[in-house]
Amino acid sequence: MQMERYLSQVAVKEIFPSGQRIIEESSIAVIGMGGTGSSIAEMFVRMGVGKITIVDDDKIEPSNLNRQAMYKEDDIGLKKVDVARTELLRINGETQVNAIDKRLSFNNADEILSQVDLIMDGTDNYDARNVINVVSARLRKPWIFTAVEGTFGYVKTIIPGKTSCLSCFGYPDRGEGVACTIQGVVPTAIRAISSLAVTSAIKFLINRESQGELVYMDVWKPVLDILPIPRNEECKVCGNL
Amino acid sequence: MKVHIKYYAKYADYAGTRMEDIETDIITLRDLLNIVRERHPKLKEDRRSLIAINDKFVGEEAQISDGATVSIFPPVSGG
Ligand SMILES: [Zn+2]
Repeated sequence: MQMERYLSQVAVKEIFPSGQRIIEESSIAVIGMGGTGSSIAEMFVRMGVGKITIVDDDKIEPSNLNRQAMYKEDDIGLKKVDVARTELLRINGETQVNAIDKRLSFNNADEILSQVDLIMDGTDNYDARNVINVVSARLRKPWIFTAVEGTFGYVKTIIPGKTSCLSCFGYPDRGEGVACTIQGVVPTAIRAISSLAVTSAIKFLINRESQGELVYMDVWKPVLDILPIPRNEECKVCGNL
Repeated sequence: MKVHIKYYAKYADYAGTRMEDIETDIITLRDLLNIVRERHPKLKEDRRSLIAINDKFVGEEAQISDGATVSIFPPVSGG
């Protein structure tokens, strides 16, 4: 560990040098490198995560620049994972960055996710989240759900077999959703939800537990609510775990 | 009996309030939601919503008791 580099975060008792070591030994995947995914990846790499796998098949567009971390004007037209990989390595050369220029699907998810310790949801549609939900249950991989729209968003830690999953509480399991440019989203809401998501992830990596409650945050009002979501024994995804 | 309804995010705009009380005799969440959606038709635009009774997420077959707080959240896909 480069003690000096991480001095301010290991001084926090919730992390400590013991937690920092866990962060540095962890391998995480970030699915989707849009607003939340790029912010999540940047924070994780700055905090010293050992290995990060980033997954996205999109190119950078002008309408991404108001909210998506790391992308700049002269990156327009380039692949998100290529630019992100370069930027992440510039931020922290000790992190292993694995860039996958694909859209996560049932065909490739097992291969991409089987080696990681934790999955971060940076997706922008119901279909992709359903792939993460179903495959993580099968592989018993913990993951952090995020979703943002307008001025608010959700974060939830999902530990298959221990907490409720997305299907337990009726979250839609199919559909493209509505593009951010149509439904609208405040860039600060994305940063706030990304921060909550990375905090939840680090907490889970260090403490290995979570109640899986749904955190709802609205940055405009502002409001923060925490709602328990019990496991649903009838859940078609995790009911038999 | 009286039920407290809390509307979150855009639903608060659709309902014109973040909270309202409804007097009703019905006891299942599904029936209550039908009343709420008739009162505030824009809520029907989402195929499904996320519902908690007394801060616990439940399915639409759940029963409602006097004084319960029903929280209604929009599903969200963005990221
Ligand atoms: Zn489930």
